Amino acid sequence: MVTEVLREATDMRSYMFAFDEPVMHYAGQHYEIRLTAEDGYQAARLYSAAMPANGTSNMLQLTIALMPRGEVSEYIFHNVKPGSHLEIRGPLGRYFVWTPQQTDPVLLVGGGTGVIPLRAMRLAHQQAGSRSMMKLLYSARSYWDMPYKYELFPRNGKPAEDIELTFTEQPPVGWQGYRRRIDAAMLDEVLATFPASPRIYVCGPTPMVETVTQLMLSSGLGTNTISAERFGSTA
Amino acid sequence: MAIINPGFRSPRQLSSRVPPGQSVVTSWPVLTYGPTPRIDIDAWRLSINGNVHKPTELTWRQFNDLPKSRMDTDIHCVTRWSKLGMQWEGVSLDDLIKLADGLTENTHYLIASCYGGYVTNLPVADVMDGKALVATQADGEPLTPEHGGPARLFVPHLYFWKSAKYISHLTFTEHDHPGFWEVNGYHNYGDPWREQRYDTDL
Repeated sequence: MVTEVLREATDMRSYMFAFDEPVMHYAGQHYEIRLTAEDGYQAARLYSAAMPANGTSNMLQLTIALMPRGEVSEYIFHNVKPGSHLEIRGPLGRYFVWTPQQTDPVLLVGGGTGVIPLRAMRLAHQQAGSRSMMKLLYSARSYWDMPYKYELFPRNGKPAEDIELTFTEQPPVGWQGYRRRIDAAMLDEVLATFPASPRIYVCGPTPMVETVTQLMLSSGLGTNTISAERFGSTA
Repeated sequence: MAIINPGFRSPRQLSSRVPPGQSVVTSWPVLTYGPTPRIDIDAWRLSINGNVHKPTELTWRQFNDLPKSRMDTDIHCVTRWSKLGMQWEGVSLDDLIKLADGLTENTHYLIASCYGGYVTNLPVADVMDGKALVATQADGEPLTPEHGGPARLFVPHLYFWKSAKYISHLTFTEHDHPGFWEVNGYHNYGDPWREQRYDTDL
């Protein structure tokens, strides 16, 4: 059952679900929401969990972006409110995950809504009190397109210390940091802050993930150290 | 029991060509678990090995000199998109198996391995009798790297993670060896019409 709806960003909302059972998944895993019409027609979409869940709570947070002509996200945005019931299956996928047992340094690279599973990894890292290094490089179009501002970049504040931000279209007033797409120079600067080559998770739109992972291969990082999750099409 | 969602309606036109739970796309989404590997076409090889009478290795030129087969078909990705009416071209698995002088007795599985380390597994019966290609072209164009070029396995009657991108080895075996997604939560067989998506599906 939906208990709360949070407006995260332009066309992006978080839905909080309460289950009868404790929720347990690895950070980075996703869930499937399936809608059923009265005539039996069904449609389903995958959404990354936005928070870790170690079995101590029965709450799940999914952050959902409104997709143009997206039959599932449009229905959810227009019809789902606290008290609504949705069919949810998961957790799914066991590859794009971070677990507290990992001790190697980690660089998370996100574009747009690709930050959602990375945010879960960052929270899991914090909650586990992990002493391994973890950094997030996040590329957003504008401040208003950026979810989790209250954690990543509180208004009038500074980005958290483990976060590098770049705004590709409209940075916030007074922004002194990066204002371009992620490129080789930016990656090198971020990678230079790591004492050793990190394990890397990249999530975002296909063109962004292609660009970033190819830049990483060019700078000598091994294919096996890079995990990627893409969404959307080639042009 | 499914929860009926009040006010949720089916789209006007539903095609019987589309398996349950899939939505039709016109664009072509990309899903790969890591970076797109860089493949030097001069060093590219396709090995056909394991339970074949004559293990065979082909260069890009040798591979392209083989007769091509075409499949006009739809593709279905487990992440819920289907792309209809595509034309795929490549060398049929039947021809590649023939080139290796056929399979030995007790051969039941194909293990497909790829540049970049990806592996997937299929029953041999699912890649024979015109059901599968090593494909190099889609819709009249060479496969781009994002979509698995220079060559990918193509087995369109199963979910598309079975159509392994950047194919390098076709290894025929007696026993099954679950591949990358098959040990990471996805179904071992992957029939779209039975919605065999995850390892908990029947």
